[in-house]
Parts: sequence; structure tokens; C-alpha cells
Amino acid sequence: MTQGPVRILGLGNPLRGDDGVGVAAVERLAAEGLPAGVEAVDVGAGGLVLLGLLEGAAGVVLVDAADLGEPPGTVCRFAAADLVARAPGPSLHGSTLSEVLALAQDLGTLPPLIAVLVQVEATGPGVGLSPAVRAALPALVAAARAAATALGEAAPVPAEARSIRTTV
Amino acid sequence: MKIEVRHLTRIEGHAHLEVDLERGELVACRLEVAEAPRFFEAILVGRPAGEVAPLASRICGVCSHSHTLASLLATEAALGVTVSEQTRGLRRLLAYGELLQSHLLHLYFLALPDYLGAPGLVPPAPGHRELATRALRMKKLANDLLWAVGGRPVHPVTPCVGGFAAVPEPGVLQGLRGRLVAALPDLEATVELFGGFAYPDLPRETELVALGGGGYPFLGDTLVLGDGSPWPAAAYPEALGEYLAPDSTAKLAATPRGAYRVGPQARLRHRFGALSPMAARTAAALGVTPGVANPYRAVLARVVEVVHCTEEALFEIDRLLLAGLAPEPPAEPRRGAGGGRGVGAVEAPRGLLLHAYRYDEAGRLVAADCLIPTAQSLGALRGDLAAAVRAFAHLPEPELTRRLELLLRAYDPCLSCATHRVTRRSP
Repeated sequence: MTQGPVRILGLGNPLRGDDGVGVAAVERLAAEGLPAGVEAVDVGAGGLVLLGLLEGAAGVVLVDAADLGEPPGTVCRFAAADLVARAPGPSLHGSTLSEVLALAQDLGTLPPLIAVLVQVEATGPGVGLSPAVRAALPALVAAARAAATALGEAAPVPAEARSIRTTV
Repeated sequence: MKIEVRHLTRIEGHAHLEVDLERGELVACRLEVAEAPRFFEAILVGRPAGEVAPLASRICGVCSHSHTLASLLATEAALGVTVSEQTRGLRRLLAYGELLQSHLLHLYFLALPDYLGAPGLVPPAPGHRELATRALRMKKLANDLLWAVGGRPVHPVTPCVGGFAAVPEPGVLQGLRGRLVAALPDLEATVELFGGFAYPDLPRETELVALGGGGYPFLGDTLVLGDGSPWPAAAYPEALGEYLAPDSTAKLAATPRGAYRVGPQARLRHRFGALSPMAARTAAALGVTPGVANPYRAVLARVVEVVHCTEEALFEIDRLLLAGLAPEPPAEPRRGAGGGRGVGAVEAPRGLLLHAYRYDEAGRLVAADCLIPTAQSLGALRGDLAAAVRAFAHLPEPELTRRLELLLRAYDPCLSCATHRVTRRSP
């Protein structure tokens, strides 16, 4: 499994305002260039497509919009364990991110994973990021690169990485 | 007795089901669709032709390739673009890959847990882990096919107005061909697995609408209505009227004869004779015939279509390679920048998908209408749910509830607004 690339996966829907920030980050990463062994993939609103993209990767960085109760534009980093759902419940729908990760874990295809999430301001219908989230894009991209580097070096994710926080 | 299923699981999107029974008599059966309304049609307005399909592909992450194809066909019909046979072949490959990834997801991850007696995917049902590994292998092949032809696993980037901005290397298609052949044992195992389950019996005739034309079509400009009569796709508003219901944010559709259904069983009803040789043998083995009107057996119709699309993808790759697959410039609009109206019709995994656009003289989109498969089938689904309540009212409540959920999932409804959000549980 460590033979595969480190994948930076951008999730979200650019037609829903800030929800498209993960896709915007992947576009920026691709434009700036990526080191050998790292690929950035626009997964959009792929849902369970994610399962196939987790498989075979040496490590995965998820870049996504989130509602974390932080000021808009705040970038947070999470370890996989914080995102994986452990039990079914009435609030879990067909293909939530956490359920996909739990399924991958169960199937033994979940690689070392870091999620880099940014607090959204507005996710209503419409194209374009809010100013706060747009301003956070460089920090988000830098955090995604740092996470990919850490995974590429197979460095264990330190527990304190879960609380790394950058406010722009 | 009142049965309420809130937050139905293992469908794409959100819905609630409410059934009210008094002494075995159905009082009410409501299916609420709780998704936020879509504003995608409005987002497309004002865009130049080249920007429309990439945006349209974002309508849905589950069938982004189908939306891309419908969008391109609508724009090309509006602007008078005729594409090459190579482009048509590559687009068919995308349609096959799309159907495969969506059907496999439905069969193995959304429907199978019911038949294995599990509450959900996590934790898995006994024996599901091994099956899921097989499913992932098959689904990954479909996604890799889409990635190779569409340039991305989801939301394709190579298909453009008039053709393809880039085509796959012949060697890549050769490799995929080999993997498709190697997947045949997995297909056989899939047929055996789903052929071994018992499906509730609910004989209920519904109007079935699909794409018409030759073969088992996925791209086209003719529809087949329930009575088998052809209808031009461009004139769909006269045949398939849409209306809004107060308890649903999805639009509903109906023909003059009432609710209708699109999807695998509609395609099989009208194009059964055009199944690939292996798919025809599969249908015979599973007892799938064009006349089957039991919505629960849509699951088996999907199995037949998985076999069909795998075999057709093999044929298509052979045709493309034999014809000397090579990059070619996209076809130019015949009418220059002049305006016009165009309708694109494709068979998405869940059924007929229509995009209708009008462009102005400057080549900007001024009006868009998207007719989504699940919205078209929703009226029929409500009728089927009511019929199922009547047919199974004598059963104990847990079994009745299970059968209603099973029916809903057999439709494989996609009510998703395609957003992806994470909410933190604890600080």
C-alpha cells in the first residue's frame, strides 16, 4: 500500500458557495505544481467514489469545507479517527464522509489520513467563495501540502496535530 | 397504526416516509423529500456554451458524467454541432462506466445490506466484508474507466462541446480492456448472489418511459413512451409535464396517462431485444423479462445492465482501437454564435435525463430546464408505496416497514443536493 501516491482529495460542490473550497484548493495545487509522488484529485461531490480513491494510496489528505463552529476561514487539521463514524445511527445517511471512512477502515483500505478543513461562511446556491474563505485559501493549500509531506515521510500524525488551528 | 421512517438510510439524499393505517386500511402514505431545492438551472443562465457542461456536471456527484453528456448534447443540438463517430464512442464508454459505478454502488452498498439482514454498512453484515471487497474491485474498474476517458474520476474534464479536449492513450484502453475481461468471474458471482435472494411480490403496472432509437441506447434524441410509441426528445414538455408538490422540494412529473417511471426496468421494457449476448443470457437465468412490472425486481434489472455495460464497454474499446483512436479537434458549431434551443437526452443510471437549453445570438445560455430521473419516478414511487402498504398491511409492522424501505431503495432514488459537509461532534 505504501507504493501508491499520496493523494490530496478536494471535496465539495462549487455550485454551493464555500462548499467548493476543497475543489478550489485542488485547482490551486495543480496550478502551482506538486512534488513527485503526490497527486491532487478533484472529487467534487463524489460520495462513495471516495472509497476507490482511498484504496491504494500511501496516504490521503482530505480537503473539505466544514461547519466547525469557528470563525469563517479558520483552517483545522484532523486525524482520521476524529472523522470515522463508529456506529450506525438515525442521523447517518447513505454516504456521509464519516461513514465512507468507517467502511474503508472496516475493509482495510483506509490509508493514513489527515483532513484539512476550513470553516465555511455561506453554502447557499451560487458560484464563488466568501471573502473570508477566499482569504484562507493560501493557508488551506499550505496546510494540505504540509499534511501530504508528513504522510509521504510516513511520519506518524502527532496527537496535537488534531488541534492545529490557523485563523486568517 | 402509524409507521414513520425519518431519515431513510442508504439512499442518495434525504427523505422521510409516513404511513397511516387504520384497521388495515390505508389512510395516508406520504413520502417527504427533505432536500434543499436546487437552483442549478438558474446558475447556468448567462454562461457561454463552453462553461455550461462543467457547471452542469456539478449538479450531482453520483452521476456527474450523465449530466455532462446531457448538457453537451443539449448545447450541441442548440448550436448545430455534429460530432464524430469517435466522440460518440468515447461518450458511450462514459455512459457505460457511469452506469457500472452507480449500479454497483447501489447493489453492493445500498441494497445488499437489506438482503443480508443488516441495519447498515457499518458495522457490516456477516459476510458483507468479503462481498464489499469484490464490489470495490468492480467499482474501481468502472471509476478508472471514467478517469481514463473523462480525465477525472468524478466531474469529467475532457468532454467538451464538439468532442473531447483529450483522448485516452490506446495502451490505457487496452489495459482497461484486459481488466474488464478479468472481471467476468466477478460478474458471474454477482449474478449468482443477487439471483439467490427472495424479492417481495408486488405486481403493479406503471407507465415506463425510456430513451428510444436503435440498440440499447444511452445517448439519443427520441423517447419511448409507456405504450411503446416514439416521441421526439425535443418535444418532451408536451409528453412529460412537471408539477410541484407541497411536501416535496423535488419536482414531480407525469404523462397525460398519469405517473410514470424511468430507469432499468423502463429500459428493459422497451429495449430488451438489444441486450448484449451475455446480458440476454443473464436475464434468462434471473427470470428478468421485458414484462416484469414488480418494482422490487429493479435490483435484478440492474444486475442485467451491469453485465450489458461491461460487455458493451469491451466492444466499444475494440471499435475505438480498430478505428485508430487519436486526438481530433472538436466539431465546430454550424450556426456560428447564433442562438437556438436544444434538448439533450441520455439514459443516466437511474433513468432518462433531459437537459433543455436556449442560447441567445451571442452564444450565452438564456434558459435551462433539467428533468432529473428521480423526480420523474417520484410519482410512481408514491403510488407503489401506497400499493405496497395495501398488499402487505396484514404483515407484522417490522416486516411491513422493512418491505417499504426495501421498495424505496429498489428505486435507488437520488434526492441528494450533492453537498458535502462535516460537522464536528465534540470540541
